[in-house]
Amino acid sequence: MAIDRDTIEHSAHLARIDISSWSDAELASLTEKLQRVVGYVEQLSQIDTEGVPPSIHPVEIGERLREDLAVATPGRDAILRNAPSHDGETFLVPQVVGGD
Amino acid sequence: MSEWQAVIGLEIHAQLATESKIFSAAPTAFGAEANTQVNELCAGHPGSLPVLNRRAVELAVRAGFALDCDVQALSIFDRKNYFYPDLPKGYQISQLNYPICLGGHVDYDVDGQPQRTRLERIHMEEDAGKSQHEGEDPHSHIDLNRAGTPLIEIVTHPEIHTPEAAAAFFRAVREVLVCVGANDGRLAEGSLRCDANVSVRPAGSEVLNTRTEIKNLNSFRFVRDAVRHEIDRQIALIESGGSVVQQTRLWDETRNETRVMRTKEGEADYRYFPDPDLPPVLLDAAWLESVRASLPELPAARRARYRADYELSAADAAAIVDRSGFATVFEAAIAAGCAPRQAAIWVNGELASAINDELLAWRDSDNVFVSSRGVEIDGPSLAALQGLVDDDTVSIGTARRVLRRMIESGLSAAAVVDADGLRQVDDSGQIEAAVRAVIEANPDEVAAFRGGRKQLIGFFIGQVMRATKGRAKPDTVRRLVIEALAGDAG
Repeated sequence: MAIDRDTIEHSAHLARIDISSWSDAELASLTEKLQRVVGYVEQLSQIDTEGVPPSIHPVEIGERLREDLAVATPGRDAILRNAPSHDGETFLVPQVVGGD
Repeated sequence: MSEWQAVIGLEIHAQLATESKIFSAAPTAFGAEANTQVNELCAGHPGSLPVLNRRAVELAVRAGFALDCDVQALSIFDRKNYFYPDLPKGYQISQLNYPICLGGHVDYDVDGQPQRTRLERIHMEEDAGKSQHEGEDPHSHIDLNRAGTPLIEIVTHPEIHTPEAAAAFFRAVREVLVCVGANDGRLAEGSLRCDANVSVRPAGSEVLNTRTEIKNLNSFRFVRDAVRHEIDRQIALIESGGSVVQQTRLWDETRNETRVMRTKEGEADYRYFPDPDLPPVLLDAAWLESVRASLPELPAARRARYRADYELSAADAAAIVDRSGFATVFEAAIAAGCAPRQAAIWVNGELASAINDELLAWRDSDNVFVSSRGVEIDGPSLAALQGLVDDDTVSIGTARRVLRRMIESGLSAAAVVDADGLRQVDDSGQIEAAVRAVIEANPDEVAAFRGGRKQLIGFFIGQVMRATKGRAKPDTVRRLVIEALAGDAG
C-alpha cells in the first residue's frame, strides 16, 4: 500500500489531528515514516496462506454472556464530575450540527 | 412526463426489550432524568470493558426466527469508528461482516394485496446518546442515557416501491417484534424507528440511482408521508433538469417536507474492525432450537388460522388478533365450549363495546379483562353466557344486558339471570294471557291488521315482549300472536 500526501491528510482528518500548519518537509518526512511502518506490516502478505482458514477474530474463545440485570449507576454527579464541562444535568460540548 | 418508479429500502432500528444495556448493567428504563442511567462503560471511561447481555442476544434471535431469517451460529461485533459527541468511545459497537441474522422476509398486505419484502440482514448494535442544540446556546447538551441501549437493525433489500407499502412493512415488522417480546412497540418513545433510503428511476429500468436517506421516522404516517414527499421531490428535481445528490435528510412533520441534514461527500470511512474486547458470539444449535420452539404463534398466522378453522371473516379475525387480550379470551371461550362464531360475536361486539365504554381493561398478568372494581371477565364467563342463550334460558338480547350486569355486579351469568328474574318464559299459558291482554287493549290496531296492515304484527309482538319484560321467548310470542289474530277473526 502506497502512502501519499492524500492518505496523510485523510488519516489526519479521521483522527481530528490538525496538520494545516505543517511544512511540506514535515509532511514528506511523515509520509516516508508511515510508508516504512506499513511496509513492515506488509511482510505478512508474503506468507503462503493457501488452504489456511481465514482468522476472523483475534480471540478464538466464545463470548461469555452477562445476565440481564440492571444495577444502579454511579449517579449523575459522579459521571459528570469527570467532564471538562457540564451544567449539572448534561455534558456540554461546543455546538455541533451535522458531522460525519 | 415520463413514468417513474420509486425504489425504497428500509432500515428499522428496534430497541431490544431488556432491563439493562447491551454491554453493561446500566438500566434502560425510558424517561429517566438526563445522565442518570450512565455508568463508566456508557461514558466511555478508559479501562471499562463490554460484556454482552444474554437477553439481548436471545431477543435478537427471537426476532430473527420470527422474521424467517437464517440465524447465525457465529456472529462478530465490530467497531464502527467516527467522532460525534454523543458517542464518547469514538466508535459504535455494531456488526458488519458477521451479523446475527442473514436473509429473512416479511409478508404483509397493502390495500388488501399480499406483498413480500426480503430482508438482507439483522445485526445487533448499541445506540448512541442524544445531543441537543437550542437556539442561541453556544453549547450542545449531551445526555448519554440511551448510549449502549441494545438495538437490532433490520435491513431490507431495496425492493419496496410505494410509500404505502413502506408504511405497511414497518407496521408488519412492529407487530411481529411486539408479538415475540423483542420490542415494546412504543414508537413515540423512540424504541422503534425507521430510516428510509429512497431513489427513483424510469419505470421498467433496473438501475439503482443516487439515493437519499431520511432518518429517524417514528410513526407509520411519517414513513408514508416522508417517503411520498421525497419521491415527489426527486422526480420534480430530475424533470426540471437537476440531479439527486446523496444526502441524509430529516422529515419535518409540521412543515410536511424533508430537508437536508448533511450531504455525504464520498463514502464515510468508518474503518470497521473486529472489536478485540468482544469475543465472537457462538450460539449453540440446541439453544437456538429451544428459542425457536418457544416463539408464540405470529399474528399473521393466527389471523389465517381463525379464517380457515373458524370461518371468520378477514375483518373479524383481524379485530380479534389486533387487540390485546381478545385472542386469549376468544380461544378460552371456545375451549370452554362456545361455538367459534358466537365467541367472535361476543368479543368483537359486547366485549369491545364494554372496553370502549371503559367498563373493562385487559390485565396481561392474569389473562383476563377486569373492571375498575376488580370484576373479571374471561373466556369461560363468555362461554357460560352463550350457554344460557344456547339452552334457551335467555334470549340473545337479554344476554347482552346480562353481560353488562355481570360487569357491574361480579355475579356469574346464571346468577345475574336468577337475581334479576331474566329467565326466558316459554310457558304458552302465560304468554297466551299476555297476547290476549294486548289484543283486547288495542282494538283499533287489531282492526287495521285485519284490514290488511300486516306490518302491525311487529307492534303486537313488541307489546307482548314489553308486557313480559322481554323474557318471553320471541319465537313463541310470534306464533301465538299470529294464531290469536287469525283465530279471533274466525
